Amino acid sequence: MGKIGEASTSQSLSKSFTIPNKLHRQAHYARVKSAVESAKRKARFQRKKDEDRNPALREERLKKNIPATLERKRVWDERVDGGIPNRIEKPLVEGEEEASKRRKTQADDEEEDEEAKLLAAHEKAQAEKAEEQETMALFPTLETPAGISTPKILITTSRNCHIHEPAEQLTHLFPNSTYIPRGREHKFSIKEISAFASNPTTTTPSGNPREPYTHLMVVNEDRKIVNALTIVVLPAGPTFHFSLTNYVPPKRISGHGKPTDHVPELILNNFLTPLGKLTSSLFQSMFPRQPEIRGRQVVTLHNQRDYIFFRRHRYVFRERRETEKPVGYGLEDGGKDGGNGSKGDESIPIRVGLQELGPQFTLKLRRVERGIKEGVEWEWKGEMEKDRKRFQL
Amino acid sequence: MKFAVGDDVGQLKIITASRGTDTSLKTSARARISTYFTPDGRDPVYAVCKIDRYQGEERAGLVSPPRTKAGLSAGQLIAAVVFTSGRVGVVDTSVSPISGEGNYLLYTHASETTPPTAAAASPVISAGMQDGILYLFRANGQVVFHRFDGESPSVKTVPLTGDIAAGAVFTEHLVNGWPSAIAIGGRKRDLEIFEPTTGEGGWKSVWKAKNVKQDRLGLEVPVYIRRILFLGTGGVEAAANTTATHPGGPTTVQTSGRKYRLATGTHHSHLRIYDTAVSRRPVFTATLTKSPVLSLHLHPSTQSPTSTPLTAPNTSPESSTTSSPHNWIYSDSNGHFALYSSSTRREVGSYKGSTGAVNATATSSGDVVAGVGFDRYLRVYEGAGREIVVKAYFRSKGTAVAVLDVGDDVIEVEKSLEEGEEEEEEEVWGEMEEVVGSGSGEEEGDFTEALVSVRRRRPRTDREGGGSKKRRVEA
Repeated sequence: MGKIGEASTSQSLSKSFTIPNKLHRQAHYARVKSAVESAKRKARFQRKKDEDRNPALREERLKKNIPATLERKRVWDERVDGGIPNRIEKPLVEGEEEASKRRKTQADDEEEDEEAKLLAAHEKAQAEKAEEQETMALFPTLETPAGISTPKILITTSRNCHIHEPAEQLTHLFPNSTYIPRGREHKFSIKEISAFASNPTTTTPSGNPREPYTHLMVVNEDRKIVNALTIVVLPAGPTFHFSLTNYVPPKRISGHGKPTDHVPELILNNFLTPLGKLTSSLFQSMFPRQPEIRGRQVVTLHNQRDYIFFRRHRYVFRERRETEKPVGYGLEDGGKDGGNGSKGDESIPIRVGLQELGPQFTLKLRRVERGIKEGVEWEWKGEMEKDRKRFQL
Repeated sequence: MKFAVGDDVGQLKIITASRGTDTSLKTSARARISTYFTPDGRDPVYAVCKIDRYQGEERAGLVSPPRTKAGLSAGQLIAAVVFTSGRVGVVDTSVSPISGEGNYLLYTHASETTPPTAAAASPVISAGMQDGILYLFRANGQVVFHRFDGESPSVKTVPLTGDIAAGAVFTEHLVNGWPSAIAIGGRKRDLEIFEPTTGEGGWKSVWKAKNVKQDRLGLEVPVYIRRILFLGTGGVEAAANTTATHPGGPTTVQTSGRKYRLATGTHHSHLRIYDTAVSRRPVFTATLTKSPVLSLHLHPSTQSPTSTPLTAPNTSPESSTTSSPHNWIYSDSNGHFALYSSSTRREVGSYKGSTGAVNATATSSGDVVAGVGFDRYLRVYEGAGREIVVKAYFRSKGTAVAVLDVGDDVIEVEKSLEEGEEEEEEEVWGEMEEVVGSGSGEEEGDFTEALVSVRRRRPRTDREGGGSKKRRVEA
């Protein structure tokens, strides 16, 4: 074996000195390790004693030692309003803030400031209007007022599918959806299905003309497991392709509840960039706009690190038990104070109880296409994940 | 550098950015953006063009007209916007959008026909500006020309029949001030050239292309033309016009029974070159990628002398090469934005960076290529190395772009609110980026480290009673 590192055995001259005798070397490292560990342990126990006596010390320590998670290290992204939340605030940033304040006062003295401010305000207003228009144009169900529009979802599977049951379970997730198995002899392409789903020609048994579908969901199967979802917004809308993992059927969730037919409320967390907003608009357009509060059901789509977690819960407001923490405990408010978050509001005697219903799964957006599969708008590429601190949604 | 960008909600954005701007970096200089028109999701912009002569006066220079404020050095650049519904608007870009549409909109022309539903059924499928004439083609065959350099704008309409998907005009030789030939093509409709008949009245078809031979399986190659360009010499004439389409006008074509040279890009990603003097079948055909071609231009470096034949005679189009270097800039719907050389039948290189289809591209003299697409960034490339010189975020999805001005202001008179005292620093940063070129990747890493707290590993100095052996060297 060749030299692994540039280790030298000359004690006085070299910086990378190691003990040449293997037994001595090993014994030395073992001693060093146990010494370091015991010092740490001692410091820990001492700290615990100090903090038991004086809880303020603990709070201070927690405020300073903010764990560095990837979410906090997220790269500055100009497309997100106001930068990225949950950043680790450093004294460096305070210096920058002062500098920007100085700049602002200077700029105020200049003449063109008025016009620049007006222009900035105009740009902002235009951008908001533009965003709204864009969303309306892409998702027709969001355009009509809340009471009227109901999305109608057609669920089908990929060709030669073997998993009709799990696909059919998706109809329980989305109100007003139907499952139709993919044809066996004549296999319609997605474009064909979209065409006749948006212009149905047959009539219902009662003789009324059918309403057109607003969304088409194609469930992709691989070895009898659902692994991807393609959602097409009809009639001419964008196509979204998600990969689906970690599907947990309701039976495997302990203490799960049985869902009812009520329209759930929708929670969409952490969709920040324009692409994220597009995805959240998609989910918004798939559920009826007017939830039935009586049903106390909520569907949560939580985006974290570009993975979207889908959960369904039934909630209830009940009195807080003595042993429970108060409402709002542990919530971080934008990382402004850092630390482990607020202590909660003890004056509120209510807490929310949650019971998980129905399946849970994880989605990851892979591709967004203009129209029905014409022209790629965004595609996930492996090189996007090279920088672990840059997220797309 | 100044660009006009049209987006898919019907806005016109004028983006001013100096070389080296990369707005995805926190410390880079910001681009100045002004937005015109109220957003309307139903009416995206189809094309944006720069107008050089408006109402009898040259407008391309850095002249300070009375309407602009003192101290601003912006020239009065006029841009024409063509919407997909057929509406045309002319905007004075030196007027700020805050002052209202009355002030910045110099001229507007709604399509004569129609109730909005009919307009939607017949969207604009090709538009641009060539030699002072703004043209637009609609899917139902209607062609409209506008001229702005006279005392008042003038319009001419040419009704053609049928379903088309692409169009181009030949402006070298003008008849009464209007183009002397137009070419159209579409889905299952091969290339066809029309000339105006003498005396008022319709246009007649003078030349129709023939499809390429059947492929190896004996199947007809499908026809679905998306872009058409009239070819000619690039180079000197291109310097005066910076438009959203092919910059150069063709030189004089001799003889009666005029001969034309055209290029087409198709939905099946073919690039075909036709020479009416040689044959009805294309003299050159190549398949670029697998997705439809969205935009096609000739790179300014192309030389295209009309006296020599385009390709060697009697070679099959699938294997012929153009005798003089022709470089084609194209983008397809899969996000591929690249440069193809028909003289070597190879892709010369690609314009990297976009995540998402590049909807529109524009070239300008001086080797500048700009592209906008669904990823909401304007990317400008320069030089033989196709390096990014400007990368600016403009918030909406771009569908059209035109280069208005290639020069950079030496002294920045207008300062944005963020700059000020730190402006010198920013310039230093800006310069640094120029030198480094496209090294923005590493820079991002640097800044991330600066802005993120780095937990340094505690040095191993705190062990107590370390063992009998004295540690001689620090770990």
